[in-house]
Amino acid sequence: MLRKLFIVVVIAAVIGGAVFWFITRAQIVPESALGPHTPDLQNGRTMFLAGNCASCHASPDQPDPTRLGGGLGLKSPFGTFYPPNISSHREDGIGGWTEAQFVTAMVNGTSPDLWHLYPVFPYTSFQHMSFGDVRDLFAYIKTLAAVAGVIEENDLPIHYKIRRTIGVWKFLYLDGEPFKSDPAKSAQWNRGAYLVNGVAHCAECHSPRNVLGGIKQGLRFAGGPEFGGDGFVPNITQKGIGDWSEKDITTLLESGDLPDGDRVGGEMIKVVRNTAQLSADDRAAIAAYIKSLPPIEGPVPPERK
Amino acid sequence: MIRILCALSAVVLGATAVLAQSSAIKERKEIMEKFSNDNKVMTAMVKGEAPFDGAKASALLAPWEAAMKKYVTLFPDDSKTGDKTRAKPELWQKKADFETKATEFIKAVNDAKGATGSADAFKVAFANVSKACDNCHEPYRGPRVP
Repeated sequence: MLRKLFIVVVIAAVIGGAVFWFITRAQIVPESALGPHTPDLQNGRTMFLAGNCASCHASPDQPDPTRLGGGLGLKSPFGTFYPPNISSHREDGIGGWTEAQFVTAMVNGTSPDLWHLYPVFPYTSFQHMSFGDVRDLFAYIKTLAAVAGVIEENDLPIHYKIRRTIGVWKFLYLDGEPFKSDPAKSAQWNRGAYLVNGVAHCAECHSPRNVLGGIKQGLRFAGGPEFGGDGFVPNITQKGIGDWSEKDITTLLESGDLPDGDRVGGEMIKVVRNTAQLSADDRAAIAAYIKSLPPIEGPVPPERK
Repeated sequence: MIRILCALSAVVLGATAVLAQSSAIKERKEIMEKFSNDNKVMTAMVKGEAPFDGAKASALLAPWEAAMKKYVTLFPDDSKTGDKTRAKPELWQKKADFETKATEFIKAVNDAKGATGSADAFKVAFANVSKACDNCHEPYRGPRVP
């Protein structure tokens, strides 16, 4: 009897282990999946700006947003993350990566040595980008300065350092779906939806997260406590900014001015430095999409003194 | 009797301290609110939503330098919290940098005052004022308190 039970337990463990191993395997985009492509550097720059890459990856305490040496400490409830060097430096940055490795990092969240990247790198949004846009971005980053220096390891408790388990997180929150345009909507709206949900990854900050750090999908864009800070990120559905016009949104993205005359605050200051350099058409597209978000009641901000 | 007097004066002192603290925060807010209201008017001009009026911009900017000079004095150590202040603790840790940024802001304001002669020149100069706002807000002002 005991023997039988033992065998059952062993079989269950083997199956469980195999399932775990299977769902947590590192997924990649192989070289063969990428057809011929002529990089469009101008579009790559647009992706770089819309993606707000510099806000996390630019070397801190210096003014040039195109020096991508990494190292800014990003606080989170799980610990402090240090974004890596993504400059064109061959050894310390991503200058030695292949195109397929870059696309893999962006859409699968997998590093060239086949480790799961932490979702603080918002591949949950980047996965919706077209391969063409990702490849243009890579080409553009490679034209920027090579910055030497390897960034220190993330400051995380030991159990978060077991990267294999991030595979489970990905299984839950990474759907691998490319962006699907909605033929019933205008081209401008679709462009906005693509930018907002893909490269610009707006929902990553403007949505509340659960204990695992996953976005609460029903409350997407409805704001919530700042992840890793004590601020509160505003609700950008029509529940939060119903009295804003599309023009108010483009104005904010262009100059940082809020409808009441105040200036935008917090992390959004950095975002606006990038969106200010986008084309007026792209800002208008973002505004058209944001303005169309149905009203959703978000988390209630805590009463502060 | 002496005891009562002592106790009374302690209470009065304490109350004064609390008042001083909240009045510093209140004054800070009033100055920023004034900037904000003026900014709204000038932003509309810069964006072409309202006709450009150099004299009006000049008049609005006139008190900004004095206001900012006053503003930097309104951060005593006992005004770090309370009244929903958005000032971050970093401001007190890097007072010198905060004051440098305030000086840069004043310079940008004066440049803008000198550029009210033409809409195009003012647009460029006023963008630098906005930048100076953000350069200080970024490290020292926290998010909006709901």
